[in-house]
Amino acid sequence: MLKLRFFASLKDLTGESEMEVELKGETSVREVFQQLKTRFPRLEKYEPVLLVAVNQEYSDMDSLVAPGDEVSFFPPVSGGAR
Amino acid sequence: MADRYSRQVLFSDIGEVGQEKIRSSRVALVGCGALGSVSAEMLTRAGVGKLRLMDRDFVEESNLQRQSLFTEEHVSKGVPKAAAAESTLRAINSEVEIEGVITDVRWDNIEGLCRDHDIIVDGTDNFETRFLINDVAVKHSLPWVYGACVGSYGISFAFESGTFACLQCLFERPPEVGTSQTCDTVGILGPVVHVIAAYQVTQVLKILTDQSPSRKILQVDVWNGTWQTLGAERAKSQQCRCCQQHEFRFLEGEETTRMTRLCGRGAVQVSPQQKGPPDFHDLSQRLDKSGQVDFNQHMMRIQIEGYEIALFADGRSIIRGTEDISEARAVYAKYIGN
Ligand SMILES: [Zn+2]
Repeated sequence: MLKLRFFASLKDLTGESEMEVELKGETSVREVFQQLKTRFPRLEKYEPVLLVAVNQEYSDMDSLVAPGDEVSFFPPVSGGAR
Repeated sequence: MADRYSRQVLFSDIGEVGQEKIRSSRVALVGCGALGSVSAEMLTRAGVGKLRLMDRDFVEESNLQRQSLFTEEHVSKGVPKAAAAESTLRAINSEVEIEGVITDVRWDNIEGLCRDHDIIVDGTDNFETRFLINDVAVKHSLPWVYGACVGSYGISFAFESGTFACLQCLFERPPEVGTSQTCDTVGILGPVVHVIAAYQVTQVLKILTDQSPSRKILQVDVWNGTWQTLGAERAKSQQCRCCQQHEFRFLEGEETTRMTRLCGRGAVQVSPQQKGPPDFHDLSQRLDKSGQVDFNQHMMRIQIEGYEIALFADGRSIIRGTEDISEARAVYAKYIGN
């Protein structure tokens, strides 16, 4: 299993702050995200602008993940509360 | 007031030496909304030498819930935020040289406004200005501290781009409109502003006293009680156009024509930064040989080579027939110009 965590607007979009997905072997974050998009098509526009963390370390879509890892997705946050 | 900073000096990682460094520091703060006003107050109380704050807005009633430097009187008099902040901060600490600058920080003035400072603090509300700050910071080897919040969520990171990642290492370009929520659409909770500003100012004090700021990206959701830091030591990109190749595209004004993909509409919106009314007559004469052109006082519609360009009196265009930014940029440049 792979643990996924969603923050800010992504949490609202998926309706979950975290979820687990089946993972057979090593794969890229991008591949995981493609699967997610089929469930949550509105994720698509976030793809080029997401921050991705694997096991709490900054990563990117090309990073490889394995069962037991934790992937976090953060949307860009721009507000300075003007 | 010899006693003024005594508690801060007692804090051993600052001490007399650190306090003297803080006292001789010059801080540039871009944006004086919620994050900016909370940061400004803490920096002023901490005793920085000089604080320049820049903002383009007036104080409004909806600001008072979280923007701690402003009062009802500022609202009723419609005082510019930079001026209101300046007078409040001077009353708090007369030893600090406070300078409020009422201005829209842009590519053509940011260098002059920020260069002669030791650090830049982000109090802005948009990514375009942050990419400008990042360009200036990288170009002049200045540290800067990013902070942003929306809803009950906030994020902060201290950029020291010489060794570590710059903003463009994390995001190649500003996220398109619609991918980042704004306070105008989902609101903002006062407490998260203070959490993020507190983290920002802590990093500023560490940097000003020659100590390493946190190398982690902080993200916090005060309502849901989650607090997470992400290690960012490996975030520096060797391909970064800004900190590796020293291309300062935002600072050169090359990125000021804002392109927005209108998802699902098969269109791209182009908003030129410098808005002037387009000359519809001139354009129609120029274009009616190659396409079909109609216009009224508000807008112009051009059908040309499979594209439909709607050009508005405020300078904005919507180009239909593509969702590709670079294709739209080329169409715009070809038919409308720069
Ligand atoms: Zn960089």
